[in-house]
Parts: sequence; structure tokens; C-alpha cells
Amino acid sequence: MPAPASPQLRYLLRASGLFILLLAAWWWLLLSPMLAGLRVSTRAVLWLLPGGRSASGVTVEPDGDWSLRVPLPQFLARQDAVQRAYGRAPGALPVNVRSFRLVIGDRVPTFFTLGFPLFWALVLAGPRSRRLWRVLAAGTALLALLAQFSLLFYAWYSVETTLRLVTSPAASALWNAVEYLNMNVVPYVAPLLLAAWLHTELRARIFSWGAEPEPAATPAPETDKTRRGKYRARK
Amino acid sequence: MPDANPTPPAALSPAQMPMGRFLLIFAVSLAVLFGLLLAPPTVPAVDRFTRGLVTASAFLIRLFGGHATADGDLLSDPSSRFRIQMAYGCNGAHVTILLWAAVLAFPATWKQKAAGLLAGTAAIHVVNLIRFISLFYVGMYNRAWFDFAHLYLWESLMMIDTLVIFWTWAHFVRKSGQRTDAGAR
Repeated sequence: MPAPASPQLRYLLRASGLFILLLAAWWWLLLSPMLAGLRVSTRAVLWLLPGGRSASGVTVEPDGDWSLRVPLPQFLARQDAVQRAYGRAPGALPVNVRSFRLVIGDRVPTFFTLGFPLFWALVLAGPRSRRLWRVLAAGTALLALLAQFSLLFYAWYSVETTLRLVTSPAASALWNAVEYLNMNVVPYVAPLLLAAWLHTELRARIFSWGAEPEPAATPAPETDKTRRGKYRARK
Repeated sequence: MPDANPTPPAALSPAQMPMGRFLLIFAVSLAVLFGLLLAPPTVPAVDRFTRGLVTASAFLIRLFGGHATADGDLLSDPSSRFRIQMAYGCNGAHVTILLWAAVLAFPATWKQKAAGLLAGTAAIHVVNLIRFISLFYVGMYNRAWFDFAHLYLWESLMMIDTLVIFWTWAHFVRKSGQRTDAGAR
């Protein structure tokens, strides 16, 4: 079967095929080590947060869900909303709150690692490049950082909405919008933008940057007739 | 007016096209368009559009001999009573916004941009209808496969499609710019 003539169609077929292969490899081979790595790094970040040394951690429940112990800084723990959530009666002594236990479905961290196979497929389907391995390594590292950031943001959003820490309607709307983007847009869009940013040859093809100009029609000898034409080249 | 330059503004050559300008307009367009998508006054219009897509999906399934009914944003199979919902993010709006932001940021004439927005949006929604109908059939037979195809496979394939749609449009813009340049020579 001859290859399609259009470079765009060739790229579409190559990228889609590679993505399906890499998605299968991700699902059956890579997902478990990736989630283990994400758990280790999440545990480390939570440990580094204020109050994290005495109360933080990530464990996996029997059903696969993740249980995060998110440390709460003292200035937050003393807030009325938090104290009420932890059952402080009016006039009683403040409840000593050190952390918040949050259970998230295993689908959430899984979702934040989806960007890897998409990024790899977009880059590997692009034009050959001497810097290919560097592009793959840099993009993978940036996506790992993004996955970590997205998971922490999701955790913090969940803590905030459960304890109702944000009270202003405008701040709440903004907070919800950012979380919507974090869950529904960033995991898909980030690999695409990273591939276009890091893979300069692919970017050059898409934007026609640095591409060889296509041969224009042979210029006709300049005659009186051509000079009388409607359009004239700008000097 | 022999000194006037009536050549329509063509796509800029690679040397003329500033990446910073593209990125700035792209980022601003993304922020504005996502802001509009999530703004409460826009929600009813987006919901109407979503219901229209579900109705179109049911119509297409029936046209090809299948059985499906549309009920708001739900697509149902009358015999098995299986139904799927087209949620807010499942109507192709995200990838459409991505495409619009890229088209608006790319140096081209307004006519070319309008053509890119219309044709690109139509192409995205054709793919999205195929996606939604295929998910309906996959979901009817296997729930686990439905989740996998819905969350991981199709959304990413839509991203690849969107990139290629933009690339195809940018290619045509550049070619028409070259034709204009060649004609002007």
C-alpha cells in the first residue's frame, strides 16, 4: 500500500498508530512503575510541606484508591471552618488539627500520567532529529513535574472544597475553573504544546518555519504585458 | 493608482513570523475562550449545542439502521436501555478552543482565518460525532472498554486530529501566500 502523499495525513496516521501502541505499553507495562514513582514523589513533597514531618503520607487502600495525609499549616488549622469541620463545639477548646486525610480514586493519578504516551507518539511521529532523545527526555521530565503539580493541586482543591476554606463567590468560581482545566484540559493539551515547543523540526514543519520554500512558478520574462498587470511586486 | 499595493496581506515568510507574537496571541485567546466556555452566561448555549450533537448522533445511528434515541444530553438504546451522557467536556469544545486559538494567532488574512475556523470546527465535530457514536456502541458491549476508550484513547486521538487540522490549514495559508507572491512577481 503506497504511503499517503500528504505529510499531514502521514503524520496523522503515524502519530495515531504510535499512540495506540504506546498507550497499550503504558497501560500494561509502564503504569504501575509510574504510579509508584508518583506516590514516592508525592510523599516527599507532602513531607516537605510545613507540618509534614509529623503528619504526612501516601498509602494505597485495598481497592487501589490512594489515601493522602495532607498536612495542614497551623494558621489554616485554627480557622473557624476547619475547627467546625473537626467538630469543635462553641466555647470549647480548639481541636488540634495536624492533617487532613483525603482518599482519591486511583483513576485520578492514572489520568495525570496519560500525557506520557501522547507526548512520545507526537514526538516519534515527527521528522527525524538528532536531538530526538534529548527532546524525549526533556518532555518526559517536564510531564513528570506537571503530573506531580496536577496531583497536588487536585489534592489541595479537594481539601479546600471539603473544608470550605474559600468563601468568596468570585474566588470560588476562579478556583473551580482552574480545577476544571487541571483535570479536563491540561492532561491532553500539555503533551501537544510540549511536543511543538521542544521538537523544533516538527514545529518548523507545522508553522513552515525554516522549511525549504516550495518552488514557485518559473517567472515569465518581463514584457510590457506583464508590467501592465494588476498586481505589482513591492520593491 | 499605480503606486498602490493591492496585494492582499499574505502569510509571512518564516523569517518574518515572530514566535513570541504567536505565543502571546495564542495564550490570550486560550484564556479568553476558556473563560467564555466556563462563564455562567455561556453555559445554556453550550448545553443547547451539546443536546444538538446528541440529537445528530441519534439521527446518524438511525440513518445507518441502528437504534438510538436522544433525550437531552443522553443517547439511549431503546432495546438494551443503555445510555450515555455527553458531558460538558465531551462536546469537542476543548479541542475547538485549542484550534481557534492557534488559527487566530497564526499570521493570515481574516478571510483565511474565517475559513480555517469554519472548516476546522466542522472537521473536529465530524470526528467528535464518530467518537461519541463509537463510544455508545463500545459502552453497550463492555463497560471497562468504554472507560478506557473514553478517558484515555479518544480524547488523545482528538488532540492529534486537532494538531493535524491546524497544520493542514497553515500549509494552505502558506501555499496561497506563495501563489500570491509568485503572481505578484
